[in-house]
Amino acid sequence: MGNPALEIARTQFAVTTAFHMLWPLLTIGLSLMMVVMEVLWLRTGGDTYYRQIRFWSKIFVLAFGIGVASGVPLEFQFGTNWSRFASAAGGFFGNILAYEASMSFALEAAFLAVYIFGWNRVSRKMHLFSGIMVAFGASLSAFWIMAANSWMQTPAGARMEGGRIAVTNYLRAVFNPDLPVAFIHIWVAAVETTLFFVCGVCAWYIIRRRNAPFFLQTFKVMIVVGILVAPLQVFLGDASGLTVIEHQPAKAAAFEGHWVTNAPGVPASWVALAWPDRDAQDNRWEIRIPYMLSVLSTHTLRGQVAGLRDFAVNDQPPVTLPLYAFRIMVLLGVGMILLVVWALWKWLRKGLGVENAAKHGLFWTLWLCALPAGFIASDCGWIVRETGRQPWIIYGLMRTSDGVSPVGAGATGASLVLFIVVYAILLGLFVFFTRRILEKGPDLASPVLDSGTAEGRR
Amino acid sequence: MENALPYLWFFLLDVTLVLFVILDGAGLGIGVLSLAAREKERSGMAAAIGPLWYANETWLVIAGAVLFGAFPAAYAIILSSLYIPAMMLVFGLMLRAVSAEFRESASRTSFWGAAFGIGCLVAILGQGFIFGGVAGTLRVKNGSYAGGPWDWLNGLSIVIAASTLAGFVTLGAAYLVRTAEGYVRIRARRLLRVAAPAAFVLFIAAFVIMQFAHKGMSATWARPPRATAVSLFLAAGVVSAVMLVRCSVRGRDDRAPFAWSVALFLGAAGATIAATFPYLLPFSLSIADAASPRMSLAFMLIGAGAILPVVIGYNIYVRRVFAGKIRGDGTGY
Repeated sequence: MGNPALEIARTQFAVTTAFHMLWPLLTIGLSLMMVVMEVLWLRTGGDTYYRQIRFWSKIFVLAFGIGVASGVPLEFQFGTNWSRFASAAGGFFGNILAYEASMSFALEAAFLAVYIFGWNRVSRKMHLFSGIMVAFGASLSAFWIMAANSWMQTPAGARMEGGRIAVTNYLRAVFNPDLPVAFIHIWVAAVETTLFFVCGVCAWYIIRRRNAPFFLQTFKVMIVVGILVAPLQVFLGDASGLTVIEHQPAKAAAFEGHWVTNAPGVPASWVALAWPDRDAQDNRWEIRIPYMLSVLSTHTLRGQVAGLRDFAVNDQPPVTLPLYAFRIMVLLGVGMILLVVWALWKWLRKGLGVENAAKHGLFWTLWLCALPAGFIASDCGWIVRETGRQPWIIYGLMRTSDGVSPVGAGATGASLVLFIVVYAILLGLFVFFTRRILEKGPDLASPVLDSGTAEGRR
Repeated sequence: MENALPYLWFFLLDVTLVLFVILDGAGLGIGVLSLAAREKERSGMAAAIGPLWYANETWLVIAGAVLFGAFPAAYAIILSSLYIPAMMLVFGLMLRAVSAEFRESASRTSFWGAAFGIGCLVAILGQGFIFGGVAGTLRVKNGSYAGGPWDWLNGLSIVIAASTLAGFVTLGAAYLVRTAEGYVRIRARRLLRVAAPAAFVLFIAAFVIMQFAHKGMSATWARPPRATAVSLFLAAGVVSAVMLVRCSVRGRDDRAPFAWSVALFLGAAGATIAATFPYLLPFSLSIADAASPRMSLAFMLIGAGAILPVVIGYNIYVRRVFAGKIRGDGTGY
């Protein structure tokens, strides 16, 4: 690529987004989980639920802090690194970010204070309400961010006029074709990612034979959710793929390594694994499964699927990165389903009792290893989504190279290095402090707060 | 009506920025003060900021998004021309956020306390240089920035950054008088007597330099309504600075200093806006020229503008939940 400043700006956005999105995934999921537990607590009066909330909220706060810290730079990056995109598209894209900030982030941040530090200061009902506002704010935030992002994928209701985006229909722009399935896909990904994170933590305790009853309770709740969510995600992934084929065929062809359109009536075979070569406009080697691409892409045996060679070379996205990222995501998704099914089977065979749980070493080790699975799968999905959109920043309307700031490679490069260093430190510190929270374990001794508490309010 | 939309959004932008500076500015100022404090006082100071800094930082995120959505041309020029100060702000806020977070679970609180203070200092200086850069002259060609990466560093921006630092420290000290007790409060009072006049004198110096930097500024005094507005705001600033020093010496009312420090800030901000209106970037980019299409401003009003009163409402509720004096040992919450 010709412009080093462009490549550095792209790398910076990729690094900062891939890192930032990990934390909302976890806080969206954890906030929902804690609301469910608080409802169960208020309904049943079971104190363990209260202790669950107090325990998980410590990790939640840590993740939320890093999420805010790494998210604020993203907002500014549109101005610093992508100023030409910002001034061209601000009239829609910036509006949506303003929606996100004032409708959802503000809600989440304000009520978080009450939720985390207000145990002694508000009634139980008000506390639950704050928790619901945090969870609602987090999910609504994801909705608006996905509205902005999916509009870049399928920019409906807008056209380019004199170098600026002119929106002709705001409703169509917000609810663009990609939004529904993209939002639900990432929202379910947040739930599934959190589920595997939480279950991984449970496994950590059970392997160490610490607090087994406490964490088996959590684990079982999570498995009930998991048996619904993990298969659902496959259907959503399929629906998402169909949207891509309809609206961004070049992206679909890229992550499938599919170069040549199959002739009518001839089934398209699926590339299970390959090494793509852009210069040759072909794969250097490949392992193919007959019929499968037609089945996957059109849900018919011989459906036609557009190949990459149908697109001019300078309109083609990169191929290798999305191809491999896609396969890693799918593999992890399938693995996660298998693990949930195994857990359910074990549970039905009464293998998750307090007495015998710790005996199954391999089972729990696998769950521990699967702790980051959702994070990795989600980041891979994101890579497919964003690299597959290239060379466009707004699909079909504005090229990425036309959106970059006229800032020299020096400043962008220096800040990129700084971001990488800081984010590596942040990740290390998160692991360090989470481990410390885990070592300390849940507090099972201190008295449960009485409803109303300090001021006797109810 | 349609022509009023850019000015309505300019007003809302100012409101969010003012809320950010008053609320989070106090927190950032306290962070800087904590650098000079002893470990014991630090926990009291941290408690004074309390659990509200997320909520306060929200206003920066909203202000940034409003600038992006309503005035994309200005957003693009400001952030790309002031790349380095913007990064200072971003990395400073990041350091503040995580050190506030980790301080809770860490055993070496002094390390994270220092990191917290440094984060606040860097964030304030970043903002100060952004204010300074915007107040100066940015070279713009075809709607894009055409200068170098260090253009923002000059005499004017240094004076403005220093004034911003003194101003935020003033807000922080006044907030400590309001919420803290014991030695922390006494020291904060003493500091106010120096910081408040310093902030105002530096601001006046910057205002004078701006008269020479911009030819357009001479028009400030030519037209009577503008001259009156600017003089009134400046007078309000002088009165606030005097009252602030007076009430920090007398020390009967713990709430008065913060109120006067807010008034001081409003005076300075008001004078600057009155002198440069209707420009968003002084004398080079007007509010109307920077604004998004009218339709887009109206669209943003539905989902973002209309909701701001609600946001302010629940923020008041949350602040009331945590209102009142905190104990010096930092276990207030």
